[in-house]
Amino acid sequence: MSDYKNDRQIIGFIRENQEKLYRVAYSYVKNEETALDIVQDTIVKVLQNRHTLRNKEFIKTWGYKILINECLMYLRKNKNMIYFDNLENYTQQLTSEAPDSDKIDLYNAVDKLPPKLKTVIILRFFEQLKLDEIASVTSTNQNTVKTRLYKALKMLKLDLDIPEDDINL
Amino acid sequence: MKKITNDKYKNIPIPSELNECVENALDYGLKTHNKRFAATKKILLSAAAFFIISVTLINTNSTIASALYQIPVIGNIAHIFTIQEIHKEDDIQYIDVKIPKIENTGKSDLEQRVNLEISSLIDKEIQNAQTRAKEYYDAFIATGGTPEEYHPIAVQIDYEIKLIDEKYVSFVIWKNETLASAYTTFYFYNIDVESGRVMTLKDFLGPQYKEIVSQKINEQIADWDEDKKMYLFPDVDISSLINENTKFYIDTDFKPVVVFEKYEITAGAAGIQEFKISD
Repeated sequence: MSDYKNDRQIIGFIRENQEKLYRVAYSYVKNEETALDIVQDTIVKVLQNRHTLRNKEFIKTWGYKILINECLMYLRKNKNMIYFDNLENYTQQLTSEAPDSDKIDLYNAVDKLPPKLKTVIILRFFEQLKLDEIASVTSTNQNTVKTRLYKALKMLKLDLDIPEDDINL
Repeated sequence: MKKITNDKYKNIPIPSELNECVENALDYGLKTHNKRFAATKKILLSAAAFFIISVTLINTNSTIASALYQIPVIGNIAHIFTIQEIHKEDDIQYIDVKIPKIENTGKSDLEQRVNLEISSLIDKEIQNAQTRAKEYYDAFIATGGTPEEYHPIAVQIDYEIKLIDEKYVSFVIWKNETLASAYTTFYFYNIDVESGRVMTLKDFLGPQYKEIVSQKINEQIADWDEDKKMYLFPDVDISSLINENTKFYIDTDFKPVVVFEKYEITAGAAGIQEFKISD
């Protein structure tokens, strides 16, 4: 495959998925400017390092991986981050939010999770990636992903049963 | 059984600037991508070896030759040039390094000392990067990943000359590591050619340097527009960050420029912060 064709494939992926990339970034940082900045940094890194991506089929998981690394780096170094000790307050709020509803929205809940668990929730429930794709993005295996998923839901005090790969959203 | 929805997520508003930001980033990314990488990679892949190290002596490199050509030849002026390029590529990582060397300062002790320090600094960085990449790779495989799915970690080390003159030499070596905890790290070298010393802010500005530098920086921060001020961490105390190890370079006006890395005093979105300390 020519370099040119490779490049077109990568650029195509970025253009088509720009809103997704933005939403993932936003769900980590919850700030428009920062999310835009992270998306920009991610695109530049993807392009500058595209020679290291040997198999262009992996552009999706690789792109997410760089994006998430950028987000995590931001959270790690940003002093204004929300800390995990608010979790208890939050879950009370979560359960009291809509007691009768048969739907649970994890959008606000992810803020309270530690980074690794946050990542699986965002990728699985928001971006609807498959477990094996999440494993590839996070450089772990499917069992680890599953464990983290359960752990995250347990932390949020959500007693949910998660079928293998076809969760009803 | 309750269902999980992603309604709120899907409703995250998309800012109107997104498309423009993306196009700018695409532009920038494509422009800054070094063509040399692609070319080298092809040659290496065709060799199909597991471990390849290529070392090129730069005397033959036309870009360096032209760079040297631009330096006016007035008496005893220092040179900085790439003594060695290292390119190493395997299944685990992708390393691209340029090692600079300083010469013709008229102070051979100084040159030896600085060059030795540079090469040991770079050796250490490469070794650490290799260890990290190996650990990362092993963990990836141990947890069920396959070598095909693994994306090698890219490590790039390069340098930039800020000032080269009969009196001072100032340059920065930077390291960029993809997919690791730290991205770009900078090492600044400011050399007073006459005394043969590596300079600190104190050497440059005298014993009152802390006060001078913090005052100048605080003044410049006060002049930032409101949008930029938002990125400043609330509890930053500039004077506590100024010491003999504070990173700076000397610009072409012979003024020290203090550099704070991403996240040092501002949110990452604001990037690297530079403050020129002029009179």
